[in-house]
Amino acid sequence: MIDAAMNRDQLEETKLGMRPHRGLLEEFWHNFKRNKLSLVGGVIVVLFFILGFLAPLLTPCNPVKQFDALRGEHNPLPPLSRSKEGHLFLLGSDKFGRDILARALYGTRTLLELAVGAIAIAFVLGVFMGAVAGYTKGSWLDELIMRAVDIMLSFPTLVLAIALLGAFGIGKTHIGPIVLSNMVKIMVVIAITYSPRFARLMRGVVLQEMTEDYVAASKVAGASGGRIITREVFVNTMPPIMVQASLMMATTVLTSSSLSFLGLGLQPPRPSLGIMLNEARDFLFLGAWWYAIVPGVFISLVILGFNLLGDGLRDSLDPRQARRVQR
Amino acid sequence: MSAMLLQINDLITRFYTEDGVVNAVDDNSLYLNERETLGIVGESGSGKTVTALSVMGLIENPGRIEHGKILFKGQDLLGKSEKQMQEIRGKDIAMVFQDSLSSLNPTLTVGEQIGRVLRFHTKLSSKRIQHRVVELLKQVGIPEPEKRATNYPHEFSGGMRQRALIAMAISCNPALLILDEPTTALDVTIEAQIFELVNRLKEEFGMGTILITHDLAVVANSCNRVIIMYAGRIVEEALVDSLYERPLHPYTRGLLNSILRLEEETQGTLFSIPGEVPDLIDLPDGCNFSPRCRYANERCWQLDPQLEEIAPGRRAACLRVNDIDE
Repeated sequence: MIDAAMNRDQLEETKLGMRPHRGLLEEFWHNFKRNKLSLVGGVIVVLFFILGFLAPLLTPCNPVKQFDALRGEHNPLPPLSRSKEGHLFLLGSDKFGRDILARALYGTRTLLELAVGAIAIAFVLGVFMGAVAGYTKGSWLDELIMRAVDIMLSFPTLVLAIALLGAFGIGKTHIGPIVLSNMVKIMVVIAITYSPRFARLMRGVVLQEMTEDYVAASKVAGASGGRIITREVFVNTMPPIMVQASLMMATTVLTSSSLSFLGLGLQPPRPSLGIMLNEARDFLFLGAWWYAIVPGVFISLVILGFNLLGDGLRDSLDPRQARRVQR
Repeated sequence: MSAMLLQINDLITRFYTEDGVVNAVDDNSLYLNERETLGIVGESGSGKTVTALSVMGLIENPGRIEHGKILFKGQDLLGKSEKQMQEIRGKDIAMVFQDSLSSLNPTLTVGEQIGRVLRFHTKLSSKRIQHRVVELLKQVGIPEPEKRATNYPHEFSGGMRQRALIAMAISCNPALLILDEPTTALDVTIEAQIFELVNRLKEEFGMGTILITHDLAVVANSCNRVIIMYAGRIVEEALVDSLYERPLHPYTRGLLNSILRLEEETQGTLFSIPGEVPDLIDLPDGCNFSPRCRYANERCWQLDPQLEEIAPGRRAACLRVNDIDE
C-alpha cells in the first residue's frame, strides 16, 4: 500500500521533473522574444549593423566624392535632387556636394566599429580588474584597484575623454614602437573612461556570487579558488555585465559622436555622424533641414536600439529570473 | 566497537563580527565510528552547520577555529594546508547542503557538475567520467539518466536535484558523508524517498554519515546515535533508542514533546519550548538553557554545567539531571 503510494509519488515527481529540455541559449531566446520592446531594440541594432557594414553594397557612391558641378557653390541640395552629372542625392547633399546617404551609412559603420571596439576593450579591462578586486576582497590589491576606479569615476566621462585625447593629440600617436591610428586611439581612450564602470559592477557581482551556495558546494567538492572564479562564478556574473555592456554601447555611441562633433574624434573627410552634425550646424536655420536630421536620426536610433536591447537583456539574461517564472 | 572515523576534540569556533564575538561552536567533542550514522540535532544557530564546516575546513573570515583537534582517520585536519584539504573535500569527505537549487550552478548541466568532482579527484578519461555520471544518476534513482545528465538544474524538480547532489557527493566513494538538513526544502513524501536512498547508499558504500537536522523524527529512522546541540554546545549524547526512551536533558525533553504524535490524544494545545535561543554573543550566566528551562534553579543560573558521562555512551550537560527524573 505504502509502496504503491511511494511509486505514485515518484512517478509524479518524475513527471514534474520533465520540464521541456532547453539549452541556456534557447532559454534566453524564449524569455527574450516575449518582450516586444526588446525585440524592437534588437531589430534596430541588427538593422544598423547591416546598414553600416553593407554600406558599399547599399550605396554605389563614394562618401568622400564631391560632385563636380557643385564644387565651390557651398550649397546643400535637398533630398531627391540631382547633381549636374545626374547623380541622385536620395537624402540630399552636404555643403561640399557629397552624398549624405553614403556619408551617413559609412559614418554608421565607423561609429559601430568604434563603439564595439571600445566596449570590447573596456569589457576585458574592467571585468579583469573587477574580478581580481572581488576575489581578493579586502586586500591591498582590492583597495588599489577600487580607489583608482573611484578616481576615474569622479570625472564626467566626456571631460575625461577630452582630457585624454587632448594629452595624446589628434592624429596618429606613437607610444614607443607602437603606432596607434586615430581610430584605435579613440577606442582606447573611450575604453579607459568606461572600464571603471565594468570593474565596479563586476566586483559587486563577484562578491554576491561568491556567497551563493553553489560556490560553497563546489568548495565542498574540492574545487580550488582559482577554478571556482573562472569556471563557476564567471559565467554567472555575465548577465548583469552583458546588460551593462549593451547599455554602455548606447553611451559610447553618444560619446564618440560628441568627440567627433567637437573635432577631437575622427577627422574629416572621414565620414562620421558627429562631424556631419557639426558641419550641419551652420545650415540649421538656412532651410537645409536634411543636413542635420539624417545623422541626428541615425545616432538617435542607434542609441534607442541599444537601450531597448539592454533593457530586454536585463529581463531575459538572468537564468535565475527565468527559473522564477517557471515556478 | 569498530574503528573511529572522525574524532573532534574540544573544538571552539568563533566568529569575530562587528557586533561582537559569536561562540558558534563552544568547546565540543564528538566522535563517529566507521559505518555509523550520527545525528546532530538542534535549532537554527545551535552550531550544527558550523561544526560540519569546521570539519570541512571551510570556516571563512570573520570565523576562526580557535582550539581543538579534528582527527579524520587518525590525521589532524586542522594541520592540513588548503591544498591538502581540497584533495580531501569531495573525495574522502563529502557534504550535501540544504537548498538543492542554490547548491547547483545554474549555468552548468547536472552531468558536468557531477563529472567535475570526478575530474578533480580521479584520473578517469572524459568518456569514462561520462559513463560514471550516468551510472551514478541511475544509482540515486533518476530515470533516463543519459538524458538527465545533459539537463540544467532548473529543469529538475526539488527531489531530483537533491538526488543529483547526493550522486555528486558519493561519486568518489567518500568515507564520510555529511548531510546538512538535506530534506528541509522538500515535501514529506520526497523526504521519505531521499532517506530511503541515503540509507541504501550507506549500506552499499559503507560510509560513515553525519546527519544534521532539526527534526528528531528523521533521526529516529536513520541514525544510530544522536547529539543534541544548544547554543553552540552539546547538551546530550545518546544512542537513538535510549534517547527516545528516556531523554535526560530538559531541552531534549522539550524537543521530543514538541513532536506531534497522532497516537496520543492531544490536549488541545501543542507543546512548545518557551522563550528563544539565546544571543550567542551575550550568553546567559550559568547554563545556557536555564532561562527557558522549567527545572532551572539558583545553581543553574550560576554554574555552567559540563557534559558528563551518565551511563556508558550517554552524556548530558545538566546539573539537575538526577533530580528531574519523573
